[in-house]
Amino acid sequence: MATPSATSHALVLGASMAGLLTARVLSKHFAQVTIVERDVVPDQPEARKGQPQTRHLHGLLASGLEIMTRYYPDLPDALAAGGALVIDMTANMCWYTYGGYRRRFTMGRKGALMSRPFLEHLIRQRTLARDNVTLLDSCAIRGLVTGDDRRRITGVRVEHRDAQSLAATLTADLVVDCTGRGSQTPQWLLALGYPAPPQSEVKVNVGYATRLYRRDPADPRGQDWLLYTPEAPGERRFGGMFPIEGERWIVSLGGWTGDHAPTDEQGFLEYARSLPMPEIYALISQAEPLSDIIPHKFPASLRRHYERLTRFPEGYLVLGDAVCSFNPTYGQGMTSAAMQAAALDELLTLRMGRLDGLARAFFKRAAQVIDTPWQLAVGEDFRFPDTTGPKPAGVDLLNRYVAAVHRATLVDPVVGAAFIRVMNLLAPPLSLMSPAMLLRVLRGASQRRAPAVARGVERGVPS
Amino acid sequence: MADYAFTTIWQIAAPVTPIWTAITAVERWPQWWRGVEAVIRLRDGDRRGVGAIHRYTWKSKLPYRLSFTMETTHVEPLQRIEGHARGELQGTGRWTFSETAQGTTVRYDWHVSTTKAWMNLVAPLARPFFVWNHDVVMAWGHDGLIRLLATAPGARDQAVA
Repeated sequence: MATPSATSHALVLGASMAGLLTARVLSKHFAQVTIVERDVVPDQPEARKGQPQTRHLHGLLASGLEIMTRYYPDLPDALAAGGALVIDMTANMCWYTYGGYRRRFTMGRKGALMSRPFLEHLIRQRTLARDNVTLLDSCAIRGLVTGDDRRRITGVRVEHRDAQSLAATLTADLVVDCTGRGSQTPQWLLALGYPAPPQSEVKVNVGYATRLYRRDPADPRGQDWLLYTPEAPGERRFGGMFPIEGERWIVSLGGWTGDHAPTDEQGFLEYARSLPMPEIYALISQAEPLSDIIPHKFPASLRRHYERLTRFPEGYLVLGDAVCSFNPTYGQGMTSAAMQAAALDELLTLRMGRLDGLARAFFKRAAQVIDTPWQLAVGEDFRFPDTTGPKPAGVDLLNRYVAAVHRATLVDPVVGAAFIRVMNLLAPPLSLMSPAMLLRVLRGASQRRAPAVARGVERGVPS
Repeated sequence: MADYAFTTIWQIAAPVTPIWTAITAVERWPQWWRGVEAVIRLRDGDRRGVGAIHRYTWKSKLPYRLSFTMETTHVEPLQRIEGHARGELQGTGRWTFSETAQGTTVRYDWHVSTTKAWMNLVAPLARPFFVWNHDVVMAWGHDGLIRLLATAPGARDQAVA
């Protein structure tokens, strides 16, 4: 069948952020949507075994929040009611980088600060509240099911974790793999006689450690978010301290290329003290810890280029971290997943639900969505000489310019606003190269670097 | 003022005549050369085209346009065209064509300076982007020309990438 009918059924593999958003989108286009998840899915804001990254620092970029609000209109209110900060992030920004604080300004767009499990809980509640969405948890996926000619995926084989180990086949008109980075799709494709997607892997060897602290909302600093990012490659460490629900701080400290934060009390504090920005250490050395110190390692960003495949089965898609898992320090994962889900929605609307040839069209759009955050993340990663992997063309050139942009954001809030819009995936990176912006960046960067020779800019920026 | 010197060389597996025809029909560039927004004839030239003036508007990946006029100053059929640029870019351009065993070598030399105040001011910072921008536009021209040659009537057997 080519067009979803009154009995049409979509299967979403994985009940994490990408899976939930995809299920929400598909509930508009299919009569029934079933989410299949390997783990037990809790009915409260907590991290599951299979998603260790959710216990660490998360922020929801403005573009991500805006897309999610389209699908869950009460989300900002529910976040705020639960104690999360839904704010114009640039007004509460305390971001130290390249030897100074980025200038604050009002962007007029809101993002959200909360724990990832809380956000996911709200998204999950709202997705599962849809009449035609069902969750099947504790259910491992054992493989894909196809028609005799293997041209179309018709369902998946699953095995329930219960004592009976019930094995079953679920059939669907469309199956979407949202199982994250550990996705089995490349192996499944090979087993069915299809090529696996080419991969880009960029090794960054990032490691960080996270701890929760009590936050005093009456403290004048208690509404700010604090971030330190390094002037690479000389500096390698970063630190983030965000106010979250439950009157808590979440603090993640870490570094690139193996300079990871320790998980013992003293080592963690010393690591915080080593950052050029004093606020994080000042706050956590006084605050009451509410958790252990939990480590997380992120060896490499991984992108699977499904858009380059010429042969791919009908009735099947891959979305989210299963397509591209970014270095999490740039905070673009959830927003990228939301943008991919929204792209799928637009595509299904445009095609009036027609599924034939959907994969090729979707992967092309997903690649466009992923290109910008991938270039931003990988571009920064390649400032470290130890970073290895396929280096996009022009990265060195761009990085020299972006370093000047970073410096200019310390003195010029207009450059700061343009940069934050790009980081928030609200504007394309080339918007930083308009004539007006080039002039401001040049002026800003040279002001900081050599204030005494501001009149000599035509002669070049000292570097 | 900031000066730039570019040399671009295209090796094209096609005889010189259709290439010459495509390059000299400048008013049709917008149809096949991505990045060329408009070419408008301001003055006719002589029988060979010498003395003709055209206004070019270019737009590539960077968020701005460039506009300048070119006056054709020298034409040697199937071998060479030279022109003089005035406007936001000022300088000289020269196309040279030579047939080889494999096809045709097309060379473009472009010696210009920027006259726009902002371009001069930001040159220390943005020079690499302007260079990159030029390379992108020339690559689009190369790709467009290959496609044009492949679809042009009578040229079907000549075009190869």
